[in-house]
Amino acid sequence: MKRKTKYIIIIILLAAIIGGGLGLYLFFKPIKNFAESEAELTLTSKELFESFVKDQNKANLEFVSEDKIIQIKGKILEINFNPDKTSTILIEVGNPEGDISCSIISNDFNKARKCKVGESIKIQGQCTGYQELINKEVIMIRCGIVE
Amino acid sequence: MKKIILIIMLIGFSMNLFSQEKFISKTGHIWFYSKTPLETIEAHNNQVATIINIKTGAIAFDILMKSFKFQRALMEEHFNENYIQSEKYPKCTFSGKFVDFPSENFTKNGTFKTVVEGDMTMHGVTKHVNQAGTLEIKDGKIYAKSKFNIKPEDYGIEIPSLVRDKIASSMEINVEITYEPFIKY
Repeated sequence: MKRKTKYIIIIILLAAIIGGGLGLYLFFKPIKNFAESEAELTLTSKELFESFVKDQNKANLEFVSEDKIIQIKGKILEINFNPDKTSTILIEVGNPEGDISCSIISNDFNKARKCKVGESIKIQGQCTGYQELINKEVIMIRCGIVE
Repeated sequence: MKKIILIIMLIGFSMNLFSQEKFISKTGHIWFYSKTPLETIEAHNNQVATIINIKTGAIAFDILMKSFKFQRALMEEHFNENYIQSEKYPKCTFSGKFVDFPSENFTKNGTFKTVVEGDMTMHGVTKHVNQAGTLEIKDGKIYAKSKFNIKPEDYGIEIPSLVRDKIASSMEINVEITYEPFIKY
């Protein structure tokens, strides 16, 4: 009987430690490193853009919902520098009415400064959706410049 | 003759500058804080699309909710999945106009306070709102700033009682946008 109680106490303690540990792990879990980890999907800027223009819902499910690391290749259309050391690079999509807007992490600020409009670039990050208030634009955040 | 052509061209060019109606930004910065004694949560979005028509005084915003960046993965997950439900409601939109719109203010350098009024849609709920802000006109650009509060409950966002202490009942929203003349693509 005494032995049984002991086991129960040990099991409860273990469960508490595992539960607490899991809770702490989840609480402090860092954000996925979209800029520097291995890309999970590679495509051209045109392919990504066309997917959204064709079927926004389908593209959202494919590129946004699963938080995949997406790498795109395209030509630089515009480079903007923000006061907080981040920068935003717009990528051509083969359609004058559209672009992909990539917000570049502050770690890659110096890489962004070396970029030139018209050059070919590889960028990877997290795709967050599509908006068309001004023009047709696919949005990517937490981007790193691959080359 | 050359001079006349040049003068005509110059007049044409300057008229073009004045007829500039639309000012846009695709890199608007909107961020918010939830401040409680237990925790301060902060999230930034640097890719807000917004447009001002200085002829009519109309102003519109398009904000992708998933573009808000938090410090920790769990916060971002809760925001996207439990609270704002960004898969179901990917955008927050605002469409409105400047109240008492002094259109002449937009054509000369200066700073003035203004109020924007219109409909804001977030989490599937549309509300009529008006918010104060400051506009600075400088060398052909418009610098807009505003700070206001939003209660999640007003937009049908319920915060469970378990985490109620950690999330402020009113979020402080900050807006900072640099509008540039819109050049047709």
